[in-house]
Amino acid sequence: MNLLKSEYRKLVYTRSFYLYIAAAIFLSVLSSVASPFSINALKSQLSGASLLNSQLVDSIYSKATSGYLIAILLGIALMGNEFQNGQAISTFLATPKRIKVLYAKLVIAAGAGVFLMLISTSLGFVGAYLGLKHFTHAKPDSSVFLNVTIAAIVSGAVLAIIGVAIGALIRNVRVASTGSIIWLGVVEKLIVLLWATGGKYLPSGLIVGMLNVNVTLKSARKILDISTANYFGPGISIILLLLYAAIFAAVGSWISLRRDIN
Amino acid sequence: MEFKGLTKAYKDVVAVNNLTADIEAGRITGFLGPNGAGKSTALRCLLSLAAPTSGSALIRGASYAELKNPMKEVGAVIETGGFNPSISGVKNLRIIAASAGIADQRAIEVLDLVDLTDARNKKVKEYSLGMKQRLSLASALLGTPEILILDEPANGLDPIGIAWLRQFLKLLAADGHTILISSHQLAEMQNTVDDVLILHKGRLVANGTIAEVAGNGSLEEAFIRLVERSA
Repeated sequence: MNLLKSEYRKLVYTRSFYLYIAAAIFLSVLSSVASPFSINALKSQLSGASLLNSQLVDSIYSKATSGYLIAILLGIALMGNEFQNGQAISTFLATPKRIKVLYAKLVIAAGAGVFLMLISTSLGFVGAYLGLKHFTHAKPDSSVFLNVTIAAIVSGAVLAIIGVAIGALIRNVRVASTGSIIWLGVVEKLIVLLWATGGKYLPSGLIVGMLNVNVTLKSARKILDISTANYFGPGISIILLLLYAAIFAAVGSWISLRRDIN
Repeated sequence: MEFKGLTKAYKDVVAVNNLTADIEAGRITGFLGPNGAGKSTALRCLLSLAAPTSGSALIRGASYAELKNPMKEVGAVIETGGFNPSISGVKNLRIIAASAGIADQRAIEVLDLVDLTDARNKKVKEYSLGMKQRLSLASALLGTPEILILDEPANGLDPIGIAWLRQFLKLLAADGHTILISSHQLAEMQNTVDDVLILHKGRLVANGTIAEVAGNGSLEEAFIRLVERSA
């Protein structure tokens, strides 16, 4: 409990925690509000891109989870700042059994990731509602809110844990954060979009799988085709994401135990 | 505290080479040597921050990591950068105190001990180097430990700060604390320590009371003589 209290204080005492929450809210709301407008603009180019399609409306509400990128940055900062500020020395002097520190950090990171995602997703729902208000649209499926909330909780916890492990591995917050933004925000999205067969195994693909939204859009140029038909269902997606968390937590622990603290 | 054949190597560089020495309880021991002599590396091994390549560094017969409640037995100052610069001194201490189950009130008390009461709510990035050194000392005192391990605590201090530190250490020693203090400022240490360990290029070149090592001359003269002899 002592360590959890200490790690919790490290989180809430720093202003960056609140900035991360604000950034997640911004991303979720922007993405949710903008989606109905972009879909409406693309309706002539993509068959199926109609807001009268309830599955597409579901997908707009699922955009409320767009802040998940910030959860990984939060995890990276929680671990990486220890080394960047030299705080790791006082941390490991107070608790030389490093594995205990890491477990406490993982628990706090997971909790903070869930908190961040619940707030940003809730406001994202509001954003989607406000965006859709400008158009005639179908009603969303009643299950979408539950699915998206579960996806937000699981992705928030898992990505924050992955962030802690990346922070333990790279130790430089800027490098680790930039690398993660590029990977999650660009590379994974491209893989998921262009190669769904492989992309469904990646965190972004698994988050889409958890949302359980079925969308198929076809364009004249096939490269713009979007289909979620090949993704895993929510159950398998959750299991695989938790497996990611377990693997990254193990890697983070292994690295933390072996390396000297400088 | 004891070093038993401690060796720490980084790839091809041997930072500490077969260091064996005992540090007596209730005394101030100076761990001396020029920059790069291996003092900080040896202290990091003693505090379980770095793993020895061979040998061991023990406190009360166990490694630091094996101590039941290390902060209540050993207080350590390793460097001034060990705090989050964007939060206040007192919040930094409360974070450390929480991890060892120490009451928040103790953070206020130790800040008072090191004359930082007025600056306790200032962000650490606004502290001068001397204030950061005092904050480090305050964190070392949080658990009311009997043993203090201080790595270059006088670094960056002005003459008034150094005089304050000397007085402060003497008060702690009079209170029965065992203090191991590393420094490259030999002249300053001559006025502060009872015993000395002198390290040069990772090897122990002298170990004894200040009178045994310095003789009738200064510690600096003795150090130069010892280093030339070992080379």
